[in-house]
Amino acid sequence: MNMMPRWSGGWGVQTIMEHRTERDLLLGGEVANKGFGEEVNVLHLEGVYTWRRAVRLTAKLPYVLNARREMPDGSGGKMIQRDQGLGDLTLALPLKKYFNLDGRSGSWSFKPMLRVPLAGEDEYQIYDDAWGTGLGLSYEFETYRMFFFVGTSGWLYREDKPFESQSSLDLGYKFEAKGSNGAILWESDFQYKDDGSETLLAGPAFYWNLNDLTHMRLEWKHDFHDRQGVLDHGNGDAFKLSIGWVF
Amino acid sequence: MPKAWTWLIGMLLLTGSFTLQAAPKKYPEVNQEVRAKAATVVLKKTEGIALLYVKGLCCPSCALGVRSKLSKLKFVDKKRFKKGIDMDAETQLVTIALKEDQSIDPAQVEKGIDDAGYVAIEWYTLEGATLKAHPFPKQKP
Repeated sequence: MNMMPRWSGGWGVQTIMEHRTERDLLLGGEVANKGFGEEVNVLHLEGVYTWRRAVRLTAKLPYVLNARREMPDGSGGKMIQRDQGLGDLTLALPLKKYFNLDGRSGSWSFKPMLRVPLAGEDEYQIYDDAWGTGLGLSYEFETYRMFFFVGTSGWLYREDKPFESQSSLDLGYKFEAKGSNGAILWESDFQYKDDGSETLLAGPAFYWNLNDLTHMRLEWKHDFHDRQGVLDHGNGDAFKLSIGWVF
Repeated sequence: MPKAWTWLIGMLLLTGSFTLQAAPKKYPEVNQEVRAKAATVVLKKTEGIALLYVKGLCCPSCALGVRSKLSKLKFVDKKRFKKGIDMDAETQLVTIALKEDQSIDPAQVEKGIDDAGYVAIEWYTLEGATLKAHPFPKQKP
């Protein structure tokens, strides 16, 4: 789970395949152009190193395999725009205060973050290509059967980009089977930008710890509420399949 | 009905059902009495082991560091269990397979568990049919 690797000197790598589709073009809470869709495929590469259990460093680098969106061409038709290539690098320094109780373990986290612009210019941009600084706060705990996470984070950018925040609430039921263990989760995220955009997305996730090294995760999130402050795509679904290794 | 309400009702139902499901069935409460019973069973059943209570060890994934740290200690028999270490996240008991005629070094074990992110409380032996608890150095008053 998120607490891994919590041992000093532990490190891990993870790849995530993300497939996202949006069905409509929104402005405010209204559908501005129905059926003007967007499809995005991103490969995320992530790494973590824990040198003391209270201090770890994470790096996340997305690579847009292909992204395609439909926009109005000004004469009643559709115009296709594409994006491909590196996204922006996110570095973070999560500082954790762990607690261990009888039958329950968890942590409080304070996470300074830095966004490094690596995304190039394309017909449109999945990633902002802007320097940013962020801060995250979270609390999580696990019992033998249950997982709970609540957290919030905010981002400020140097360029003329809106402030962004995300708040998350995750609940999980854990199980052990045939020498491995896993969890079934329900995860909810609320994303807000100060240009008036807000999205509430939620859905199930399945986590499986195959063995001491290998971990897999599958998640699906659906937009339950979507509002765009500027003309942008919404009303969609996102799928992620990830595999990671810890040492 | 707006979709956000669907989400809210779903969340309330899930929170309730997860809370009900969260209680372990086999051990209604993981307390010292329950753990002592489980420890006695393990010690009677298996020879050549050290049995520890590791506070907070209730997540098998997060606890991989315990195996990683303890399996490097020289008195651990890595041929038994998984790299010489067996962990029960339900009772928070960790079993260390010992090499022949070897015993644990409490200070080394305590440091390994501390580095792994947990707290070593005590280890157990059987004296006759009685379970005896030995606190790790940092737990001694």
